[in-house]
Amino acid sequence: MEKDLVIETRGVTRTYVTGEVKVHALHPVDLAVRRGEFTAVAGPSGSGKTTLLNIVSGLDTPSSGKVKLAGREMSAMTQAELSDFRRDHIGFIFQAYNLIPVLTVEENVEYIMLLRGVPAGERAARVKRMLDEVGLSGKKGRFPSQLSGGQQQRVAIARAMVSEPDIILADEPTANLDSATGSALMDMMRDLNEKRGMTFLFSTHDRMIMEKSTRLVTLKDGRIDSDTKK
Amino acid sequence: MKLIFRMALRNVFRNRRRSLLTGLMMAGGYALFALTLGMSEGTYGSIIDMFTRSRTGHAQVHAAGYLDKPSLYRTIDDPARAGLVLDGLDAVEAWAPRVYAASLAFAGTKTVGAQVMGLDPARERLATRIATQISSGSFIPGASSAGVVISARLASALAIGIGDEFSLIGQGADGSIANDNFTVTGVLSASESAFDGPWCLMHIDKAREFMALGGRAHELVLVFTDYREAREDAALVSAALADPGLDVQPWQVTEKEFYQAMLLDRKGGDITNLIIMAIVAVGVLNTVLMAVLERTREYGVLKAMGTRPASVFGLIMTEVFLLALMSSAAGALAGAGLNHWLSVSGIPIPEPISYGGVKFTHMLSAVTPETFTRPLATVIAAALLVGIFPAIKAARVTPVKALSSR
Repeated sequence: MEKDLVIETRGVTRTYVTGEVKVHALHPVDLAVRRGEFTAVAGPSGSGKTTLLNIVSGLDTPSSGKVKLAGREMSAMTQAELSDFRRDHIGFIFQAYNLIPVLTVEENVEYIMLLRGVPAGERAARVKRMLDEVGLSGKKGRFPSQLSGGQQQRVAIARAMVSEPDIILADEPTANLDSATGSALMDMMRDLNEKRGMTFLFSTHDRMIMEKSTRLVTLKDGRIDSDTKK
Repeated sequence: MKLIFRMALRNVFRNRRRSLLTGLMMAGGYALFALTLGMSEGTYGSIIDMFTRSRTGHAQVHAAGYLDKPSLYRTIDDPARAGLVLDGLDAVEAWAPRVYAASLAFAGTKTVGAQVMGLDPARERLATRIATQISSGSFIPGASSAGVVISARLASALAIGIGDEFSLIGQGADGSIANDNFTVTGVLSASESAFDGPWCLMHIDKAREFMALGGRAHELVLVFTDYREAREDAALVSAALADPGLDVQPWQVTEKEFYQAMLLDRKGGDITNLIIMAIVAVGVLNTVLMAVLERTREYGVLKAMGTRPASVFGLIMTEVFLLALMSSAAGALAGAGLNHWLSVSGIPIPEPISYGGVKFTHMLSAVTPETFTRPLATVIAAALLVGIFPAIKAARVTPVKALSSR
């Protein structure tokens, strides 16, 4: 395995069984994502984008095949190990923001570092820097319900990036935002990607994300249909 | 973890109306529990005081073996020395020596078995309320007098009253025949006296002379400054007397049947409290379960980010604990207020009870440490117990399923 590979899937399949009905969400998928890439996985609804992201993040397990993230074979891990692995290596950005409503902006961003046992001084400095970067330092004491959708997604981006994970997985990050806000957020993430060399993997069917990404992987019926580097 | 605590605290106030209703339910349960305990403590306190002060005292000293098998010959040989020790103990408020003997009483053509009790009227007035149980006549006169107080039953059996003479025949401790004439100076009340048998009460010196007991005694009755400390104080007295030939027992042992009946009655109160707590617990379960179901997606996010199931479990349990603690604080205020008010004004008894010279007109409550600690421990334990199931449910949330839930 090459040293700068962050994600590597080999023959990953996922089949859901409901009663006697089998749904093949992913046919054997081989995908390699390198450090610093800004990759979009696109495709229509039901093409397997979210399933692929869930498997790559260890939230779901493949029916067959192998997944390596940051050089670690994930299928061999227990649930507790997977939980720790996600904490230490993956940042999540969700379509519905999914901030913790009872935590302030500052606390939402700080939370992941508390889990990782980052010392208080360093936590405070990193939170400040991230909130400055996403332009929300003036709103650090606010609760998510007091923010707009775009602001909430910025907090989610700050939360995903603050612990400097190996990869940030973003599931339809602009789906709930208007096009201007979505575009601004994508620019911000691209900027952070360039400045910090952080790896991003998006699932999307938003044309704007596809255009702004540096690599576009399209899925169709659970298979990779195309893989284009720009 | 401080942040988990903060999240739990804010979660408590998240759905204020629901938390308020649950909190009120828990506070109400606490207050009711505290009230039943307070009333139980207060009422039993009055009953114990009435019972022990009427005759038995808070503890008694006997010669070893006397309690199991009372005998004229099982005596405390040096009650004066024991008295000196007792006088030196702060816990002992008063003490009085007694002697007992069985005898036959004669008046005219009537004969009946009688229990003789010799007591020190001055000391007895400080320790018990026997002197107030006289329904007619006066209490025991001086040692030189032949005057005695008899129970209503003995008076009826011998058909005698105040001023009448009768004879007692018994056995002296020296093997002699005890035989003397006595005059009735007082009769104990038939309904309110702790002496419902054929009793004859006389001055201890007269009784000792009658029984040829010398300076010995069969019993030292003790009254402590606090009846609730009777067991501990009895042990203290036993240690201070340092005499293996003496047996010191609290009222719970000397009046075992009364104490056990009381414990049985208390069990009934415990069942009531258990029902109150079960109702509270169902309310808490409903609230926590609802909250967990509503927040499934949040727990999914927390777990996706790497929060361990134990931390999610801890979050729910902390939330339940905080709600229970805050409710308990409100319940403690309400319960203590009610108990204090009822300890002063009490609940009037429609038909007052008189016993041992005391009229029991009101059921009084009491504010004791137990009226705080037991409801607190029970409310928190019940809340935590029912919180376990929803907390496990939250801890077991599968992130991928939770994140796809609405």
